[in-house]
Amino acid sequence: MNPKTLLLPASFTSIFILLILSLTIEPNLTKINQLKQNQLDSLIKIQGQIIKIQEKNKITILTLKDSTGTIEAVLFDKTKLNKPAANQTIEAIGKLSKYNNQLQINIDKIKNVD
Amino acid sequence: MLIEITALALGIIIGTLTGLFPGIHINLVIVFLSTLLSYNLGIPILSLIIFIVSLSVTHTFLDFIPGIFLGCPDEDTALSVLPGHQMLKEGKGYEAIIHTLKGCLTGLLISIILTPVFIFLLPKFYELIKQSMFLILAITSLFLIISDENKFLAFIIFMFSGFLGIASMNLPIQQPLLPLLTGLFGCSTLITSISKKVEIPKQEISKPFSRKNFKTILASVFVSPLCSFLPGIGSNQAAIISYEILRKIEKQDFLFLIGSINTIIMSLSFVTLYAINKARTGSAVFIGQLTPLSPKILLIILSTILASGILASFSTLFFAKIFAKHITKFSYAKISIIVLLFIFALVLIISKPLGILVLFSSTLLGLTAIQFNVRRTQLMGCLILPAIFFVF
Repeated sequence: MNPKTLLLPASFTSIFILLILSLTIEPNLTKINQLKQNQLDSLIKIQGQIIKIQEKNKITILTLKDSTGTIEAVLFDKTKLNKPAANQTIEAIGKLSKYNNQLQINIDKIKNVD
Repeated sequence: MLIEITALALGIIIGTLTGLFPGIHINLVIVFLSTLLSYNLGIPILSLIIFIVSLSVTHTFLDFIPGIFLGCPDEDTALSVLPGHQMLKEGKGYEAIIHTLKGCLTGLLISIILTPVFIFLLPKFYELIKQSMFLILAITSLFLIISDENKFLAFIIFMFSGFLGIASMNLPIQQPLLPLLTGLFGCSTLITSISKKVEIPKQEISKPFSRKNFKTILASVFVSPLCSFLPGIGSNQAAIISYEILRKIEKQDFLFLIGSINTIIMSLSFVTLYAINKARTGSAVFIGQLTPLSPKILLIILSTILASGILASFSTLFFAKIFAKHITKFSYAKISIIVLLFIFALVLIISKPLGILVLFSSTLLGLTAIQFNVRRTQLMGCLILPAIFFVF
């Protein structure tokens, strides 16, 4: 068999596996004070209590607190995720970014852990 | 004054080294530097700004050399491998670098000319252009696919690349674009060269004929500024949009185009930071964290861009000549194997085993595009499709 004919199905299979992995593998839980600059744009997971909620134009900013510190987590309206309530403890997965010289998380997935 | 000149010289020297290092993107260098500089070393902020700007500009000039001579590009020079490698096989690797260099220098001039226009118009039109970006990207993708000879396969490769990009960016790995783009454009080219037993001919070191680049310049003037302030759009998307606008374009002009786009994006990202306080390159993010930009600092940045660009040109010519003279002394197959091993080690260190999986998949897809004679620009679906989802 010509190896060329195998390339397309092999590509499809490997991409399919990566897609499944991207949907199933979650990053390890990180404490807020362990988040570092070199993790910018990487997917991270944190757990914390919502101590403040600010509604702005098309975004909701949650201030999360764990035993080591606080961080702002941004929930974009277009992600259509359910908005949690204040004082809830949540697990948030998203990309670490920086805004106004402060680290923040752009939330992709959110889970109530109460 | 002496410390500022030292900062400029150091930026150029380090930018030359990082630019010559295969596969290393400027953002990776900036992340490393910001970690290093977070230990308060007592360096004056202005000197630090001059250092970062000169390093970034020099890096964008030099990083075409490993892309074209070794087939090992970084994120911004990925598309230069395709025409660059063809010219290398024709003994014109040095000429290919000259075209990118001409593009970089023209990009410098364009950036300086565009700066006042940018400062005036950007705050007024930012939101409007941002909203039309979905349409621009969708139309570009459509044109990209229908302009290929085999439209069906082109569509398949574009979509596969898109899903590969989405999967890679949603995996918990650092620097996902490193395995993604080096696999699609670098490793696949190197493996094809090894399997076809490509011999690199003696390289000509001569000045190329001057070309009329008016149309190319015009395209980069209109497209590159978009990429210096819009999220999700980088130099590769800019090159593809320009490519679609220009339609038939010679490989020399394409290299010129990528050179100018890279420099314009880097230079105007500092102007964007000044005009609307948004940073779109790692270097601009770093400077934005140091201090708010005043008109005086912006002027110093622009002067640094100009000075380091001119000096980096000499450094580019010098190293391109060295590469062109010596590349035929070694077996190209051996060089390719060493570069492949280097990429593998780099991905393993930075992006860990999951990154190797991305590297494997992207190399496989790159090889598929080569084997089925599908234009490899379709592989840019890996950035365009996620960008469409991002702006949608």
